[in-house]
Amino acid sequence: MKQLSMFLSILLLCLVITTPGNAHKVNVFAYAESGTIIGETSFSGGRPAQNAEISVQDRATGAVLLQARSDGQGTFSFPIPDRARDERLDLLIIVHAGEGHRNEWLLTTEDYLPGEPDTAPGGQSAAATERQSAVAVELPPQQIALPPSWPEEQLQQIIETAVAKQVAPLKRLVLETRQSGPGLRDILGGIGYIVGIFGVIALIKSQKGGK
Amino acid sequence: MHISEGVLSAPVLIGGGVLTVIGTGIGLHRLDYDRIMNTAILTSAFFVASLVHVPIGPGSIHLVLNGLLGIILGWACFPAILVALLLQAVFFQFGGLLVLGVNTFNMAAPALLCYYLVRPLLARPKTRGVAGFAGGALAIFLAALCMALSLALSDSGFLATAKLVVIANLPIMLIEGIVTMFAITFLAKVTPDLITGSRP
Repeated sequence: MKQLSMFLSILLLCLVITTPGNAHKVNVFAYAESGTIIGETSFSGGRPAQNAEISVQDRATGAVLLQARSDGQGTFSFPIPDRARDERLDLLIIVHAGEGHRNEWLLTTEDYLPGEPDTAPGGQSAAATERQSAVAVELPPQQIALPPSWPEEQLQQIIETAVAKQVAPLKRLVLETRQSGPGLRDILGGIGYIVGIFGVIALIKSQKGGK
Repeated sequence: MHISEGVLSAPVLIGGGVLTVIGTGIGLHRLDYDRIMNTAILTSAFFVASLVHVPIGPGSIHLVLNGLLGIILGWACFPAILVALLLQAVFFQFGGLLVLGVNTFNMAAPALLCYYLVRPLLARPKTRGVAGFAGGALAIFLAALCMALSLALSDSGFLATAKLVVIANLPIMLIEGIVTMFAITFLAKVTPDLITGSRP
């Protein structure tokens, strides 16, 4: 009995030490960049989920707007569906990587239509107006010296491109942080729970046996 | 091997849950005081085994060790696998809490079957190695079939799903077989009581 415990403990220790921090779970992450929604899906541990089924739904109604598949690197991209843009829908991106692996990512209107110039002249939605005024508070126009010859639209495009370039590494960082597998703390915590649970079972059994 | 949340339909979830509760009840009832320590250690082994990945094939596969648990623990593999899967769901987000019943049944039922099939062959040293290998591999094969069945009951097309799942799990069947074989032959040398003892 003692030897068995020792053998299994050693086996366990080996497993803990050699574990590369991989997990058995599919991840999905998506963001919008200049009118396109770009996403990545992978099994945590970094293996890309190839040829995984991607479906884009409206969060409120569950209506499927779009179907796609991930490529060899586990990435996928598609233009923002017109209907989503028109009706300002929150998108639920669901990935099915087969064998019962499923996960989802919510892309809200704010995520994929940030500061998009309102195309309808004079017909701005309430939310858009609010957002624009919020921007105006942060950047009072009189404090920025703009060349008067630049049309506002072009300026906006330049800013958007620059911001997107700056934010891209951050997005990748967030993605990587989200996809890091379970750490040593999770593993040891779990083993602690197992010992505790079976300790309780042993306690109950011993009390029953004693009486 | 873990089915994610939101894939299965309600009847499958409930059915799996009920079967797991029954199995766990029997397992706890049969678990005697002396074997609780072994069960806890094997539960821990199962808990971490899923972190050992095998980078073969199209999917993402890992060690399961349900065959080993089944052969050594018998009915007690139900509570052991239930606890391990619960903690995997909480700590690693493998599977999920709602599908816990189905996932437990999918892995524990084949393990239990292997116990009844393989256990008698372990008494003789000649067949011990082969039996260990067969137990480890068979447990994975049957678990893959159970998983395909639960997916098929919620969706459609058992054969296509089963083919896919079994093919994806072929390498792990081989590896599990080898791991189980070595574990069993080693344990038979060190603690023969555990392997050849008649107690369930």
